[in-house]
Amino acid sequence: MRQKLVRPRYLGLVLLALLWFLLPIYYPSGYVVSTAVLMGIYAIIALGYNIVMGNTGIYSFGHAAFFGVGGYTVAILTVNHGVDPWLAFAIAPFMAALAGLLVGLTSIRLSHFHLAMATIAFNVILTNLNFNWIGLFGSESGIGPMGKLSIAGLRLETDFRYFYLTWTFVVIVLWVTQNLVRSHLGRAMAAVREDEVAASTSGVNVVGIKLMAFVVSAFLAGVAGALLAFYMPYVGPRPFTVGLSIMLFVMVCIGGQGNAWGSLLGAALLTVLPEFLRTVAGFPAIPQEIRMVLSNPSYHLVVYGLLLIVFLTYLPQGLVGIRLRWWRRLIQRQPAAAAQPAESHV
Amino acid sequence: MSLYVQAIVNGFLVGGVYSLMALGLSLIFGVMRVINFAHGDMMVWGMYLSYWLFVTAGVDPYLSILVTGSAVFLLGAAVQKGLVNRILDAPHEMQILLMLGVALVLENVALMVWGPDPRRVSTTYALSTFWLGPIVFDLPKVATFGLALALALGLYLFLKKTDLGRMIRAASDNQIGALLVGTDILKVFTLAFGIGAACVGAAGSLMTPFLPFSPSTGLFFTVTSFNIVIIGGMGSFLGAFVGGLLVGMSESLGAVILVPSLKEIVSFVLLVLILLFRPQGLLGSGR
Repeated sequence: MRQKLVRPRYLGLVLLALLWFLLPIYYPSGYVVSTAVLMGIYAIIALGYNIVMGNTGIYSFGHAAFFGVGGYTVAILTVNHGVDPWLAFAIAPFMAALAGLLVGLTSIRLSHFHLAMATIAFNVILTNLNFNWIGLFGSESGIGPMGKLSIAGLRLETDFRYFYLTWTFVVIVLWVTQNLVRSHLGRAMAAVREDEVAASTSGVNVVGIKLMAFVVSAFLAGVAGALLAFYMPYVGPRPFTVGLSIMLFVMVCIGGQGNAWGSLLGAALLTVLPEFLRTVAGFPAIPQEIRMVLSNPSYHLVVYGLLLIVFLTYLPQGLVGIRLRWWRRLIQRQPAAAAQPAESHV
Repeated sequence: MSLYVQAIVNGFLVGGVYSLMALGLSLIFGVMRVINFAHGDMMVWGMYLSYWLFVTAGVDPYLSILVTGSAVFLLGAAVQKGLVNRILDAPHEMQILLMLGVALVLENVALMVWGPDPRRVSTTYALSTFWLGPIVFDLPKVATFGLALALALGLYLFLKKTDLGRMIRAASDNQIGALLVGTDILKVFTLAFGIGAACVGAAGSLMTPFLPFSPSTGLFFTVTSFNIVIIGGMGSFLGAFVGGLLVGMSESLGAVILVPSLKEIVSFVLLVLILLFRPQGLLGSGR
């Protein structure tokens, strides 16, 4: 691949840093920052999910379960057992990774569709337990009230402070996953994704690599779950259903599979889009009847769905794919190759 | 004891219509290798159409399967012809994503049109029952079971005996081979998706007399159909049927043994066990 293509990565990092510093200063509270916090949390799970789905080519539809294991671990430990918040925060990802290992051991050898189903099944089972096992998970209302994290005596109770914590994690996770993909392990994952038989004949332990990818991404989902738990007043079952697992798939696909920046973009887009549509609905120039329709949350999801359909029929490489194509056209003055699976060299 | 027998009977009766729903999914997957994530939502559209016909024109849901079946057939065929056929060469995940998009649109348009509250088709016979020994039979459930069985049998005969059915089976067994002997594969795809969708649309109508539904019911039925197809064995007609009955029974037994809200767990634990010990499914051929 052309070396030049690496450079925009730093541009992205600079932009991210700028956003990171400027956004909370312009909007110190409320809406925008809280959206940005959630965006960061989703970005972390999406980055983790990208390792499994994008880099290794495993379709899991149960990653919200690991997110939930992280969140509930924190809630149960801190609220019911009085464990120190940071200690609970540190334990949560390992619990999620353990859950990932268990699910992985039972289902990693299955073929695509079967694995997707097995992971959905685990997600449904966990959600059902969350709703019904009142003694452990506190049913629908959840566990709480949650305490807050504090750093050196500074309680992270405002959105403004939590924003910095979350996005610090996003940057770390981004850095780790980018490096992971370039490592020996990452290359083995790519080999498994492209052709399992070929990978195993060249000495890659296919099942081991898949399991590893699964555990790593479950770990990251656990980090995100812990972050969410300390952000919410109560930890309940709603954020951890199959619906989110499906959304993760959408985020990673929209961004462009196997591309960490793409996952980040996908998570950002899917978090911001509803807010954006709500804002559009608020414009006074738009007639009252249309505004009524626009402010309906279902309408946002209809737009999502339509966007997906349009995307897929016209832009199969995802958002980052567009840029790659333009870039190539600019540099090489050649038409881009169409409909190749997204390559992870950005 | 009779409580459990009762639960098994009820589950068996509901399972029949689950089977019909899963047969539709199995057909779509078998022919196109497309995972229809909008399966449950297509069913919900069938249910609302049935409801609407019942409320406005007083058409009995058991009669309106003709209308809902054809309407959802057209919906499915349109999705295949207009969308899926365009990206047949794209990677598999793109097709999943496309179907997720269709599911989102269908579910949320339904939410916008009808709102989130559960609806129920209250027929005059909704609560009528009859006794057979110590067991109570709900009349609507028995009727639904009978009709679902008849439709499934009809589908079976269609696939086995007619030319179109043979074309569909040929495309499902070996796409390139079917193409080589002159099958119009795109037409077969459109037809197969339409028939699969019609199954689930009809199943939706058949369930309305005893099952309250709302737009968000769709995802549950999508996932349940996947569950059934895998338990029974991918690509096996009989497997999907047996899987439907099993899932129906395990759900209603689960509601009795555990709490009603935990009924899903039993069928999903069953799924995990099947995947662990017999991943090709109960009647699957193990490919």
